[in-house]
Amino acid sequence: MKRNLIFIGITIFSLVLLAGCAKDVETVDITTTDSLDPSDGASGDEVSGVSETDDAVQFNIDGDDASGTGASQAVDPLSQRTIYFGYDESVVSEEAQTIIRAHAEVLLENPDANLEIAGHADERGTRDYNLALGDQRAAAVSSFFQEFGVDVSRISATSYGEENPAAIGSDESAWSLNRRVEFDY
Amino acid sequence: MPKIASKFLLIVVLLLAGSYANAVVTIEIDQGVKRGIPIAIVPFGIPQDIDEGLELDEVIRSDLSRTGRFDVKKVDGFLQTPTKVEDVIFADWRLIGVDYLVIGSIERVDEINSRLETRLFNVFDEKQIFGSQFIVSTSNDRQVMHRIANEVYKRVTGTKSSFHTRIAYSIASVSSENKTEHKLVVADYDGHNATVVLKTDNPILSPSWSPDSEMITYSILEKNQSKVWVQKISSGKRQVVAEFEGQNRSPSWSPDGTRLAFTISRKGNSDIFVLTLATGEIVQLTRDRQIDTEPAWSPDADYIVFTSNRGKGAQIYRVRANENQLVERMTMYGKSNSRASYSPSGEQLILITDQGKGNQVGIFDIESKSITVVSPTSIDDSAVYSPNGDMLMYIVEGRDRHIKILSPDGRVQSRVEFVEGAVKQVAWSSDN
Repeated sequence: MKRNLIFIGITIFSLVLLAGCAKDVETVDITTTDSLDPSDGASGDEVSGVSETDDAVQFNIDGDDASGTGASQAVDPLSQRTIYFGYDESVVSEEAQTIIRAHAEVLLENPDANLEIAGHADERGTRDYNLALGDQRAAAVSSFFQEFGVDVSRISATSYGEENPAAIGSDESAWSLNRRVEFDY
Repeated sequence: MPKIASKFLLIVVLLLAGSYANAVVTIEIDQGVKRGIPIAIVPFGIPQDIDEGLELDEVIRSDLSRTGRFDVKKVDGFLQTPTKVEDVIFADWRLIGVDYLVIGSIERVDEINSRLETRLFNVFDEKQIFGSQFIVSTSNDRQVMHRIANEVYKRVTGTKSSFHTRIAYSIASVSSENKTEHKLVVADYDGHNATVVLKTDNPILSPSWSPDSEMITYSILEKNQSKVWVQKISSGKRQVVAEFEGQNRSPSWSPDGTRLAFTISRKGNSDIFVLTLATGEIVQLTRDRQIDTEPAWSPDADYIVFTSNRGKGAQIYRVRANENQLVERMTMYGKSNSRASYSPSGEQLILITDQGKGNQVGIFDIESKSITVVSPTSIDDSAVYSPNGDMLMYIVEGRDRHIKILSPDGRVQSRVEFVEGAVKQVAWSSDN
């Protein structure tokens, strides 16, 4: 059960000693919240039960692809569903465009498939800015899919900012893996 | 709470409350050249039957220390520990360089209540500056200590402090079923009396207090659409106030409480909007094609500052809150500057700045446009002023995520205790 606020009245008597200045008795109410039950307050309107952590584990990120630009040309572009970015950047590299083009062709052959794009950022920078940066990255990847013929109605793009890192750690090796867009269809 | 009629109730409950066993707060002080006003808070006289571990006076010492305005003397250097006015030997305090002295004593009134008597003295003229008596019970004792610290601060410095105010922070933790749980927690400014006010499966972003400190707005990051919510803290009742097409994020309550500034992101482009809560109407303030986010109001509500990467990298801009679209760049220096909010005076911004050493807390002086780095760390986020400007608070990211309080000059640093998990963002209530 929800508990209401408990009002605790505190009576302050100013002492009239050395100061020698008389003051009337004041009453001060100090309000404290006591055991406000969170599940109670939120019940009935729980936010949808999507667990983003589930999304993140679908993608096995090969450490060799860490730099994005460092990925081997020999790798089948269809085996990659993650695009990496530079720090505070949303520029899709030519190599990433090759990956996007290959997947776009698959999507054109499978008109029933819908494309989900999720933008991410590394932990540097502020949380809200990183969400906006993830939006920008997702939109940049989305625009290439559209350029390669995928209809915008089949694409949904979202951003998780720095909320769902692919790699844990506070160094460049982790950060470079986390500045990414993942897509799935 | 059941009222057990026992002579020892006060003691028992105080011990169960748990805050006393570890009442000693680690406060790091860089001495440097600048020192605070020397003050001594003598351990309060406590009756034999109340556990001697109840270091209520330590709450006052910690409060005053955190602001950097006081040089709070260590108890072990005291030449005497008076608890009554007649026992005070002022010469002893002058000898150890103390300007102000606080003494106090606690007396049992009944099973529930005790009476705390405190006095503040000016050591030089040997006069009492103020005296007070509080009826203290287990549920209000920390609040009473904060009130006393407020009074001492005000009488000595002539300005208001924020020891009575609260904070809200968002935190992520892993549940017993190995699922990530997101919580919004409301606590005293020093982290005590923490209450979880919301639990969800999705990240809680950008908590911001209403000016009366009774409500909190935040955004919840959902896969399909992020929405802005408003929640009443006392009842836990909450409702969506912004679910416009796109992602609704980064709400910031206006100083008069009637509006929210927030961000709508559509097709990768975030812009700043203002929502009038009573009508649900929105006005678009920025129309740039780059990122505009993290809005925050000036105290007079004339401006909204925000982060934009319309130049190279993230920098702080401001826009007129009423007359549309006059945008000015504010920060000129640093690799990036983001998440700014105003000081209570309106003369400074606190922000996250990258001056080549990572993300640090900076104070931007609006008139001189200079940025002073105040944090000792370099993976910082979510920095805010206390409502009376006497302290700063921010989140240290990385492996050991935690909440830190800084004196405005950065000289005094302390950690805030928080409920278990990875703490994400923090918001400080208003003075109410």
